Amino acid sequence: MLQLRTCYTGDIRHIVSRAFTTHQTTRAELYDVVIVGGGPAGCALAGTLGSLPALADKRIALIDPARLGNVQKWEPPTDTYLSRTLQITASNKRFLDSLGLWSRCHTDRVQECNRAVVTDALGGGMVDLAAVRSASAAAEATSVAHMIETKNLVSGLLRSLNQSCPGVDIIERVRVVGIDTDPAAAGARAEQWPVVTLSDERRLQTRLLIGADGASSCVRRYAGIGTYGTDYAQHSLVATLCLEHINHTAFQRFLPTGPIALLPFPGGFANLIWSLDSELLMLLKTAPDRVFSDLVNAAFRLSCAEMRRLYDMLRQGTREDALRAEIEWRLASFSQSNAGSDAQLPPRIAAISPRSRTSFPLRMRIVDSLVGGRVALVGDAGHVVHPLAGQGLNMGLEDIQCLSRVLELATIAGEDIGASAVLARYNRHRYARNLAMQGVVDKIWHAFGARSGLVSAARSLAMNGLDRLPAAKSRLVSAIMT
Amino acid sequence: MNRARVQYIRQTLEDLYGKNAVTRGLRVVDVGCGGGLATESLARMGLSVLGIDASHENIAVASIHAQGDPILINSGRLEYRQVTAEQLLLESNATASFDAVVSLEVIEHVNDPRSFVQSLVSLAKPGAPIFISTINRTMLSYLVDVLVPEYLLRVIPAGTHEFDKFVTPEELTGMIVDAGAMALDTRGLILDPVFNNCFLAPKHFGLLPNAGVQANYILAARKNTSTS
Repeated sequence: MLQLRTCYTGDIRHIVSRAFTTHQTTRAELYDVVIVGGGPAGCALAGTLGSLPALADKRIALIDPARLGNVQKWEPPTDTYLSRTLQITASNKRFLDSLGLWSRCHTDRVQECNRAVVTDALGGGMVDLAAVRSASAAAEATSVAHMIETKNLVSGLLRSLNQSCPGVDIIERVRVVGIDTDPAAAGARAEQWPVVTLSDERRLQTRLLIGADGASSCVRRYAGIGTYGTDYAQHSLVATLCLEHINHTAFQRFLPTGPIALLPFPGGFANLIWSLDSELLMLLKTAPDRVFSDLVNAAFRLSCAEMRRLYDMLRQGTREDALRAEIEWRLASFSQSNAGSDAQLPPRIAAISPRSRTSFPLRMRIVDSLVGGRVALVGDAGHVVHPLAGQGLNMGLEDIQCLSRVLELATIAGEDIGASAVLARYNRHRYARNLAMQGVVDKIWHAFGARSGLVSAARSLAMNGLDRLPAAKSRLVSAIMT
Repeated sequence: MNRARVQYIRQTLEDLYGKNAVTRGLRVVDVGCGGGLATESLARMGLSVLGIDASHENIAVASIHAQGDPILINSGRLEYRQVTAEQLLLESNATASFDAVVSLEVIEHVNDPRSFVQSLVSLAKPGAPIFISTINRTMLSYLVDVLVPEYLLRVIPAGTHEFDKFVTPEELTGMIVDAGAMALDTRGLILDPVFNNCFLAPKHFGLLPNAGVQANYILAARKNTSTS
């Protein structure tokens, strides 16, 4: 199998032949890059590496326990949208577009969003963030965010992988059961090629192992990269809503119990992300559909005290019609006293898509490093943030842009793309940026989590002040949307 | 430093042989390959590389290091031999058999640089490029390549470099012309010790002639097509 045509003398031959036999016994398949995790980050990285001409001769594998073939063939439902969605910034969308990855998604199911209204329930502050058509980027249209269902993006990426990336092997329906280096191999452990053992007993030995396997990454554990962070003791409840009329604006309201956001989808649909503690989560997750949509209307309009009263009624098992009548009465008196403020309010919810409510826990995880010995982390494996600013996958896509560029340049220079000197360049570019974004998102969460009157008054003052400063607003918009 | 000089070699090969030159499997010899740092990089690009070195130890180190990259070994593009350029030329089919000849940081250690350059040129096919990197003989090079690393910082053993053996770009160009080739281009290789980056510098900085090649430099030459 191995042919190193060498001329050496006796004792050297002995050393080399020992290395020779150890390699023969492993019988692992050899890859340049093995990506663990076929979610949006893993698929986007595979699609990017697979489309770079400089990496054309590289062997790349993408491993996932799911039946990715089915995801690829996904036929979107005609009467609803899925509740797991992503917000993609304009620059990340352009990046995916430039590689031909974006156009393979069902683009008719993508909603452009160029306005966001953020309000504070406690202090009454409001910021209306409208995307500005900046003179410098006139050709780039506006700085808009794109709302897309996670499955729509992943299935589009998988179609691109199958159709235009022959160098990428998709290995589906297998779990990673172990990662280790060859115990008999010589040299420092950090420079040894990891061997990934799969549940079907295949063994892949790789020059570079990518952890795109999410918050509890097994690749990160193998590399011994530590993490720290906080558990927000909260969950995000997501659902698909049908609105009373078409809407292209994102709305977010900070409630003392956590932020609630309504994100636009085409055809009068919207995605709901509502952060709650686990007790309220169970209460709202199991509430009847019609009560739930009334409560969403209420959560965007009513005061904190009123919301507490409604939750109490729900806890006490108030009958559905009585609870709905109570909400309807309170909403009616709200519209009487707040006539004319409709532009800052989302359209009323007509219905919730049946069985669309699902939830996930909210955490923040910071890694000690994005790289280890022949290991690089991308996406949630390298950073977990609160979804309140919709930055999770955007940070992941920026990781991917950076890592693919680093690997492309290293390949052109004939470098070993798994070498620590190469991976250090990726860590140097991305680590601090990710950390800064995680810090900002965490600060926003803490600022709005405070219930003290002084803090809420101060933040509402800040929000209203920001709303009157167009220059500061446009900087904020370009920071979060472009 | 390896990155900068290897990229320079790639760029020159693409200029001479066309855009996809390195992936077409051109045959390259790396004379005085040492531990195989540049040899491996050139082979990973897609070139077919023979690394030769006079020292058993260097060839052993290079061979063992290459074992760490099984994909590179399987490609069959990398070969090491313990042989000198002069000995290689004695073999029947070695003369004028390489699409490129590379010799990095070697000539400052050889006793007869003139005949060494002659051997390098003899290995190249007519019209093929020859790359030689070495150290100029200047006050600056004595400071940055001998005094500081060998005697002050002691990061390399004292006596590694003999200042008198350093070759100026003019002397090297003369040897190349005498050996039947012509010099194409000379670039400085400047090390940034703070970030440990190395970059290519032009030979002349504006009004300062030869400012870029005061210490380390790389020279690209091309063997004449006619042997007149």
